Amino acid sequence: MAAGVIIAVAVIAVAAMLMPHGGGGGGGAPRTVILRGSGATFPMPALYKWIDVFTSEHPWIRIDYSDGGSGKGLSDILQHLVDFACSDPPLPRSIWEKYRGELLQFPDIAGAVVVVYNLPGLGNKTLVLSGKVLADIYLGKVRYWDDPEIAKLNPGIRLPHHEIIAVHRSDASGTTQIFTTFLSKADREWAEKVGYGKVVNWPVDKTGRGIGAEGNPGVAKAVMNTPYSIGYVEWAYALKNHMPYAAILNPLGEPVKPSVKSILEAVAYIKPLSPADDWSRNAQRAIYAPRKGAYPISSVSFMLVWKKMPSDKCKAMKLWLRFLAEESYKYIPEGYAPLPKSLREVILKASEMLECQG
Amino acid sequence: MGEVHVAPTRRLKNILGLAAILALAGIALLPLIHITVTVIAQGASTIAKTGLLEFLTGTPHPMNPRNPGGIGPAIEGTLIILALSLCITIPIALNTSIFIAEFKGTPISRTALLLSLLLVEFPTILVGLYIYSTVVEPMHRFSLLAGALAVSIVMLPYMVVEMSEALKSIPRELREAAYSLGASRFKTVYRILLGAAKRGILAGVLLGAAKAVGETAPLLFTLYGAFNTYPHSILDPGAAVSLLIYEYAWQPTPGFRELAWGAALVLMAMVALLIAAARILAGRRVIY
Repeated sequence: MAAGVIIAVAVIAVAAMLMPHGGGGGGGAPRTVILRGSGATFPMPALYKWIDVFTSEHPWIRIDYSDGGSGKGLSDILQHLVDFACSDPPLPRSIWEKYRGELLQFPDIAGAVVVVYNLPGLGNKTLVLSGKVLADIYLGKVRYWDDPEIAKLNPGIRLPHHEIIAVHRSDASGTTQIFTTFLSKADREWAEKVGYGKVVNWPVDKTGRGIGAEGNPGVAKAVMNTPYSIGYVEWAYALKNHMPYAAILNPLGEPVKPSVKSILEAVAYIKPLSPADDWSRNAQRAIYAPRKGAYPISSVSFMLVWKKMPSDKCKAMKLWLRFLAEESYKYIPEGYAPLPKSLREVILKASEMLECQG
Repeated sequence: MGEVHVAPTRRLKNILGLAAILALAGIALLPLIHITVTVIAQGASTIAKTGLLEFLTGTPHPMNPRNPGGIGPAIEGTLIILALSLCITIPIALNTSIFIAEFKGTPISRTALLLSLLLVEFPTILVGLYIYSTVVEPMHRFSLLAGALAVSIVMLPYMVVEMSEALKSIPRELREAAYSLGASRFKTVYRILLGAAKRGILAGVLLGAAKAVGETAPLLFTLYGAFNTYPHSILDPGAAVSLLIYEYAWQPTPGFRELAWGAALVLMAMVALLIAAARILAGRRVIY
């Protein structure tokens, strides 16, 4: 019997060894270099698309990406466990200060959080909402869909006298951080009573009209299954589920729907700092940006790399960053937006700042 | 005639009782059948899209709508972790369970069993964090080895409990017969008792193997998720089928979810194959 088990283990081991090995570094081609990244879930579809294009142009480079979340990405790169990390927020100021000049950061893709709703009988009309109304809904102050605050923004739409069910994330989430940052910027009462963060205390929960759901798919599903509910998800999830989403008033008072153009308009309000600079306040400029046609809940996601790298990886990383700066904007999946030229130049700068060692 | 007459009401009660039991059994089985059918249907449609060979050996291309590619590196990672963790756990589990069964009643043996039972209930995510701080951080790398170590800690207590139960269930007479023929204690335990308990021990190995293949949480902080590249050594970061399902299933792009469904089918097939192989290896007389 023991022999049987040993044979079984041996069979498994041999089977594992016999698997074809891609890119074994054959002949005169340069040795295969693997770049490994980890972090945010948000940029993953775009990253996979870029990896496909980039590695077909440079077959000697392979790239892996594991989406354990922004927090894990940051911890992994600080431990030197990966070569690059993706994080929805930029480095917190305290960490930036600690690794000042050693750790580079730059935006790599833009996106938007959209407000989805389930309003039976609305047809294909688009609801218009403002930061103040959304804050009042999640504060529990606006209780019914036909509240004058909502009606005022939507003349010509017959709103039902039904209670609003407000869906929010139950897990710690960058999406919540972006949404609550928007509410804090647009509504003073929200900023004072609740504030912003990956997790907040939702006042609406105390009224019994709040629902927590896990992940973007969880919130999307909860809103789809709950008539008269409202929620917030990343744009891609609303598109995937064919859910209607609201036009949101920006600081200039224009109702704007998310689109590649309106997100670009908002993101262009971010200053193109150096990759060695502190971006923690700058990155928030995209949210509720006072620009014409800017969608107010827009944001960028960041990539982190060490300035000094071992030479073989460094050459590959330079090419990868150059690709992100010069070509990635041509390959943007649905539900995402490319960076404006000003921010793409920051990536190019990072590529030039890399110091190859050894 | 000699026919037994059964009152119609009794007959009716009998039929109703039988129907109720069947219905309840059906309800109990329903989720299992539903899961199996869903995984097969969804997984098969992905694999049909890419082709079996490419799905098993290719790399993922979830953003290609016509052909999402394969999960080769994840399958290889799972196989390596399975082999490594069995190499680590079988000797330990076997000898621990022999100790527990052979010296039952002594404080050390009771403590060993108690600790094993406790370890079964231990949150697996903490095992992952433990290996992260003791193996991954000092080595400055995620690795298949770290993943296999974490999985080993998770599967070990299941194997010990199962194997020691198997050894305890052997009738005393067998041991007495061995001694009366002049066999030493060593020979009695390792030749006679292990041979007699092999079905139970194999069940323990199987249970462990199924854990090794299916666990995700111990791998989160130890393995990384090298879904695009094949490892060259057990010290390279790796991937696993379960981890791929965990990371891909949340994505909005259909390609990721298609790959996750295909991976779920592969995972199910792997477990089924393991059980089938073990039955064959355990000998022709095994019936259950």
